[in-house]
Amino acid sequence: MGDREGCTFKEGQVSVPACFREVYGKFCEGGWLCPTKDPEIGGQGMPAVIFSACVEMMDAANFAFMMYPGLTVGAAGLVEKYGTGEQKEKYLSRMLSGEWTGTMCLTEPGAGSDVGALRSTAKRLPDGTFSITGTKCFISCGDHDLAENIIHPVLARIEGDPPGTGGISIFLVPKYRVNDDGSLGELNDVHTGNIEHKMGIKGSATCTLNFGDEGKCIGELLGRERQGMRIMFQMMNEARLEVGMQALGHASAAYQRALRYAKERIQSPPVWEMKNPAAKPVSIIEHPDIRRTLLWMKSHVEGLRAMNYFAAYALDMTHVAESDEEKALWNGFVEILTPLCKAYTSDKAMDICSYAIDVHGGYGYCAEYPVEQYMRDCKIATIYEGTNAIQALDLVGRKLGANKGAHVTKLFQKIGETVARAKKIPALKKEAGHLEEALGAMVQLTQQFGRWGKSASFMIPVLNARPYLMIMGDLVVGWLVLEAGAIAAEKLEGLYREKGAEKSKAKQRALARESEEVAFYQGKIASAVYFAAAVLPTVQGRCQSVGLGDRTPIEMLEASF
Amino acid sequence: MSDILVKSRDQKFLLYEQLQVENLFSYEKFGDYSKDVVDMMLGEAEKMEGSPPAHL
Repeated sequence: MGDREGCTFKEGQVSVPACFREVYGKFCEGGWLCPTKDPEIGGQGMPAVIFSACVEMMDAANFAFMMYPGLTVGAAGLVEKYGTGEQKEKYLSRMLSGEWTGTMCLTEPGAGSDVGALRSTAKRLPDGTFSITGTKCFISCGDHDLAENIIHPVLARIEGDPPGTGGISIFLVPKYRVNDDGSLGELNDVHTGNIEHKMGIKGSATCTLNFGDEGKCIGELLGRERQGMRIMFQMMNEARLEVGMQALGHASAAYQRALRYAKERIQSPPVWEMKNPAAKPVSIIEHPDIRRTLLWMKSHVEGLRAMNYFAAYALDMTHVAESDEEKALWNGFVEILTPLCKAYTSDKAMDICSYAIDVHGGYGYCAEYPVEQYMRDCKIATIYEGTNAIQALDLVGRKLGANKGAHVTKLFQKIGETVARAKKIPALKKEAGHLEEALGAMVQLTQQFGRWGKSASFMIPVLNARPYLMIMGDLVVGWLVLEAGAIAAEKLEGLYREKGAEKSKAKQRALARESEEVAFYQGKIASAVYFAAAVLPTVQGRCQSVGLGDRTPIEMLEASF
Repeated sequence: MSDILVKSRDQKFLLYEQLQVENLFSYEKFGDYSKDVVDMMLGEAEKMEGSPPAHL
């Protein structure tokens, strides 16, 4: 929805796809904007992990639409945490009701990944507000006709403040000024220069915004001066987890569409009937390569879901943890999983979308099936909110060494616990061994990164941050699908015993045909076994590869490329 | 065949059987939540997922 129509820009005004308006109304009325916020400010106190499950479905249905509520709640979160009483009064309830929306304005034409290079300025005015001047680009939902006002948190440098990220402050800049009685005043000299014509998420208006062309753009400082980056990071960290969810939703939708198509599409007799000219064609789900592709997709989608929900669950636990130690433990999981949820999920989701197109064959490449749109929409997830390369540097440069390596050590411990659990289950013993070997290789590589990081070879971890992140992602997914498999095996044991099928594989297969529940749990074991065989053994090889410490890409001359 | 994009049995397995999110409901902060409430919320979200035709 919204992909064909897209956003339009006419006479300075941006319009969203017409159908978004009704859905946006329903969405806000239904209380879906901010259910995880406290009830006192309009939320429902919902655990983040539960909201994740709800959001996954909505992201699966419409990536572009979900940008508007996502950014609004993120921007409102900044006002909630850093705003003065007056600012909260002025903005918070109207943003959390969806009456006004929000954005995040970091990027400028000359300052993308290098935020510190930004050139927007803020000039002190006598009444304590600031006059903002500058151009921001790639601003998602920067202008639209979905709500009557838009509140922009804008990064800018106060005149005279030092260069780099340490000199940046953050300002609240409304599209329309807000009068003391809460009514809307005149336009605040924020003008849309253009909207981008993008590969995907066409329903999300990506704007170039010009602030203060006429010198009349007024911003209010949010938080303290020169704390802008630190403040914006709160929104960015939340947004990184949300990007993981967007990618997950699309990965799930792509798998479900491929599965459905594979069951419906009839093509070619089975391979074992190759020499029989009278053989009838079958559903393509009967063909080995399609089955392998589908199980690859299924096991990854399940593992990605578990990783993203686990991060949300850890976030919930940080709010209720009863001791500092427990709080630090859960916070450590959130810290180390955030770059993985964002980057590993989005990279794998792209593979999953691509395989979904393969399962559809030529039809998948055409607009009459939705999978081509999934792939186009999903691609942005590897880029925005900090590219996946930036995420990898965050993991390797910040998160691994944080608290003397405590975060990663606790994660490895947790994986080790699942190895021990699965080893006791006969059906998963071999798989537990694969996970144990992968874990061992990753522990070693992580130690090696630590040594390199403190030596003259520190460029090797920088160069290999992205492969490291992807290997870590495979390990985490391998852990979580094996844990799911172990739970399923324990449940199946009971179900088999009830039906006297403990010892007979044939009876177990027959049971799966009668009982959805048995088929479901067998599917979990299939994911665990397949992932352990197809992916986990590659972890060791890739750890070995990175461990060689090759540095050709940084040593060779530019002219030799 | 139903037009599902996310398999709800998978979500429930993960929430209740793997993550055991019901632990959270024993804390005061999340005391208003229960499995029934969550199931209802997921049902509502599913309706929201299906309310616009996903692909037009």
